[in-house]
Amino acid sequence: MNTTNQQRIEEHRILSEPFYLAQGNEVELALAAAREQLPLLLKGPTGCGKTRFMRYIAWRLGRPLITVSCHDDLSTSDLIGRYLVKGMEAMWLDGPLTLAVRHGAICYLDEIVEARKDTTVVIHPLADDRRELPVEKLGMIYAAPPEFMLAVSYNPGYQSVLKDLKPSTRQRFVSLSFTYPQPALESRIVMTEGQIEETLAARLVRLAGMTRSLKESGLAEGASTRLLIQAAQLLRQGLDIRSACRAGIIDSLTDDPELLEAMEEMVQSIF
Amino acid sequence: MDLDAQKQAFYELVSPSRPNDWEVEEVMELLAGIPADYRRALLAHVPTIWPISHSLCFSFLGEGVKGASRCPPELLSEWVRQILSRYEESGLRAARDFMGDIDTNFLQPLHGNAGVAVDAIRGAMVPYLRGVSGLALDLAADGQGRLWTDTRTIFVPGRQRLFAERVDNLLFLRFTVILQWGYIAGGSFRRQPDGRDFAALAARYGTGAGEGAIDAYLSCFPDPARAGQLLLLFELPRVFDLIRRELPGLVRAVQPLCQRLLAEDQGRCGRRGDQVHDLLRSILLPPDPPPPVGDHRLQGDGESGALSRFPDFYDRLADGRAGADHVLTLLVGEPDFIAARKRIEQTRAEDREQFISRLAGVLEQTRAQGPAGEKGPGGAGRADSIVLTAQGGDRHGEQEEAPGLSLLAEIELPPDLAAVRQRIEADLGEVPASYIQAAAGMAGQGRNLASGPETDGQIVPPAASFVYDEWDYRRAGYRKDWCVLVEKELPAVMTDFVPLTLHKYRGLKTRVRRQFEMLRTAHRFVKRRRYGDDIDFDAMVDALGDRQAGFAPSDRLFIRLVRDHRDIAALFLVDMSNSTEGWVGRMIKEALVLLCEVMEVSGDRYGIYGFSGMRRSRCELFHVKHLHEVYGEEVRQRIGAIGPREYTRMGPPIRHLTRMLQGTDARLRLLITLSDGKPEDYDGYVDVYAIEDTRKALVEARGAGIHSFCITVDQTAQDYLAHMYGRGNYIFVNKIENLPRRMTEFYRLLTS
Ligand SMILES: Nc1ncnc2c1ncn2[C@@H]1O[C@H](COP(=O)(O)OP(=O)(O)O)[C@@H](O)[C@H]1O
Ligand SMILES: [Mg+2]
Repeated sequence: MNTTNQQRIEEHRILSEPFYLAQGNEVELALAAAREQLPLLLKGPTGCGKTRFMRYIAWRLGRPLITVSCHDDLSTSDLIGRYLVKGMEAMWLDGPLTLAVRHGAICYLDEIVEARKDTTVVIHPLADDRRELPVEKLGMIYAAPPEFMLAVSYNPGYQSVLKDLKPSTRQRFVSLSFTYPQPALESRIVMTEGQIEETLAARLVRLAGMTRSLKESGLAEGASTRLLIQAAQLLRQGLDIRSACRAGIIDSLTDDPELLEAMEEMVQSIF
Repeated sequence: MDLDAQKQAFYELVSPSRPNDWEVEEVMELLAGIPADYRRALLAHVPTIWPISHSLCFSFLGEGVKGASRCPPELLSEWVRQILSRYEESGLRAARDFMGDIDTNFLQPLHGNAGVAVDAIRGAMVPYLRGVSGLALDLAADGQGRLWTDTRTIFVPGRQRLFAERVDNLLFLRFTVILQWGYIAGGSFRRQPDGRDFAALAARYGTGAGEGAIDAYLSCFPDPARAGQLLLLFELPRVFDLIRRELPGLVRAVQPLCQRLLAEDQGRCGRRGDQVHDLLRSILLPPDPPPPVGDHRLQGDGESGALSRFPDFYDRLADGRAGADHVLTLLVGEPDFIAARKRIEQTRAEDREQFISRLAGVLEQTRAQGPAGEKGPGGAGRADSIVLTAQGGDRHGEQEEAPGLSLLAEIELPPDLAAVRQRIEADLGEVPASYIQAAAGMAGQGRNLASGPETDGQIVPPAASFVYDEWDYRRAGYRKDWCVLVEKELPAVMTDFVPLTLHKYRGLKTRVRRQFEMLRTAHRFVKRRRYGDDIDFDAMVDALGDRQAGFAPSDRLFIRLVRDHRDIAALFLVDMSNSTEGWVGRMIKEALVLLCEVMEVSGDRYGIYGFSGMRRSRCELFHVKHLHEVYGEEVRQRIGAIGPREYTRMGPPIRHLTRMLQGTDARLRLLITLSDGKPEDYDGYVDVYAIEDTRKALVEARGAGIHSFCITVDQTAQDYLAHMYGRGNYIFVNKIENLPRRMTEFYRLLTS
């Protein structure tokens, strides 16, 4: 059983350096938090680099990274683990959280507010200074080793902030707010990830910037870095700029005809 | 033609009023000069116009005489209709301007649709402008057809029809709007001439060596208006470069149009060597390859000395008046530097006040939450926070070493405050330390800050009253805490209104109830139930494992197909203004009764509120049914008690219900407004202002994740509806007797 778990954890090890360009001092902060054994709270709009950041941090720390995308069907067993029957024998299988605790890995709960409250209670004793995980069915309380790290993320844009995170829990976390990277940085990211030339990347970034100032006009969220990379990939496949932007970026943002028209015009003006 | 008889006939037309003799005489003399048929046709409209405005009527006759050779008599009625609507919208002056140019304002739009009406394209152009500029700029049609900006709103001719093709007109309009933004962003309206600049003018034109802002400087020129326009030309190379860099696609597309305008212009004035013309050509249509960026040609050298070369520029070009001025005006417009300066100063003052009071509120709140705050270090989010140092000096004070990870004196700014901060930084370079000190002082004194929406709840306003901002489109900003909304109870009245209505609609009710029952039957699997239709395999595996391991296995082993709990919260907001008096009001009430009856079977949570009021200080919201209230006799009685009251200020109740819905955890949150026409209130909440505020309130709701829809009851579909509610977000009911059916149908479609 140990060997399977050992194998499983190895799958989560990040072997080569992920491409990550720091926005500010977030890397230092996260490393400091790791040294102090404090959990991380990443907040920011979707597609601005939170997941990539965690991969990078895991690589820097040389620890495995176990990511759980939260959704409202997620159960406690999904996080902690469950018994399976093999032959006539019951066999315990660690859930991602337990796995991470036992092996000193990083557990990253992506979009935590998507999970139900009764599911997320299990992280409380891990987040405060007890740093332990009770596993009822095993009759065990695992103490997290210093290498274990908990990280959660949420998008303040479309969830009423803090609604599902108890203040007492929240205050245990070191918060890192992510915004979209500065234009020059974002251009480099799009250029590298999308493998397109620099001026084109810069223009995509400029387009994103324009869509991001449309909040007042009713666009809840502007184009994310991820969408830009997606458009870049379409471009690389030989699509023309208008179709790539339309399919890769604009249409994903809204159905409102006036906003669509405004963004189409932006594309026309920029390229 | 006998003038006296004619006059007599006129007096009869306008009796019993008795207009001034010589005024009548003057018009009659004019009328004498046109064919009798046409004269009769014109006079036929006098009884319509005279009661509305005497002056308008005289102007109408005067302009009508001038237009006699061009406007066929059968079009006169349409012309009058448009004149009157112009008059009602914007007053006498606008109506006169409209009449003044019958060709451009009336005949051409009537005959060709190639023109672009600003009102029709605002919906897409404003987001475009805001996206491109990153500024909260607005767009409006200028009454006199001028192009200019006060730095917050860009005013453009109400109609653009220079070209035969609509796309070209739209493109050129877009370009001129962007040029205005270029001047705003490039700082043309913020130039600060120094003492030497003024002295140079004094030496040249003998004006007193003055001081002041750019408008004062321009006023020292012999022809200030011309100087203003030439200053924009002077700066055009720089601004055009900026635009070409940012929006190369736009420039590429518009260049052929500029080429055409310049060519036509040359054809018209027929002389070469016009300096303005040549200059425009060299800037807009540079030879290939384009000169390197930064070649500013005629422009001064660098920021500071920039104005030193302007007087020469002016002297060289001011006299060549003829010719290319036309194109210059089309491109850069007729700037109003005074209006711009006033607007800049006003914005600066408003921002200062808003920033200080909001920041003080935030500081207060942070302090109330304890010294540690709730925030960790700001990480990458520097844009949203500000470091408070004792002196308020440098923005990034020495940060403590990370290990303690203790609180940096960083405060996270709510988005609206961050936006103000950005504006201030754009304006002044950085937030002056004095602002921050003032805010800290204010917070320290624990003064009550009636500022941001977040603080409202805490300042204990009089019972059940709420303060809301209102959107002022003219300055593209909110008027803070502008409206007070009071929640009120309707007096319960005993009436047989409900039973009668139910009897009337018994057939419809049964049918609709059945449809609404169907709504509930959206199916969904729920797992880990004690009983159900199928085995939950995951749970089964867990249980088997548990049992094998010696635990009592869970008995939640089934999957159940449930009629989905729809988890919808809907609020209905009902117009109770006096215009709903009578038939309309009655049908609205009947529709509500039917709605309640069928909503009960849908299982959705719903609430109903009425609204009316007068002036911004008294917006009233009447409780009919709260979201969680049971539909019973009292609710019925309150529906019966709904009746016409005062005005229709739609913004505050929409904002209020938005806030209510934000407090619910329903998956789908709906706000459905039922009204009978335009929003309007007594204190200037009319027309565009009211429409824009209502639109804004709905946009805010959408931004808060609330789906808002409107049902409008009116004779004819007005064209502002799509703009105000957003296309696809409203229905229009003109056969009022259909309202009960349409309304329930609408709700059903919305939620299924
Ligand atoms: N700072 C960054 N450095 C490198 N790549 C980045 C960065 N920020 C965003 N990206 C790119 O954007 C994509 C989306 O980011 P992701 O981490 O998935 O966003 P999030 O988790 O915030 O939704 C990544 O796959 C990566 O390609
Ligand atoms: Mg992610």
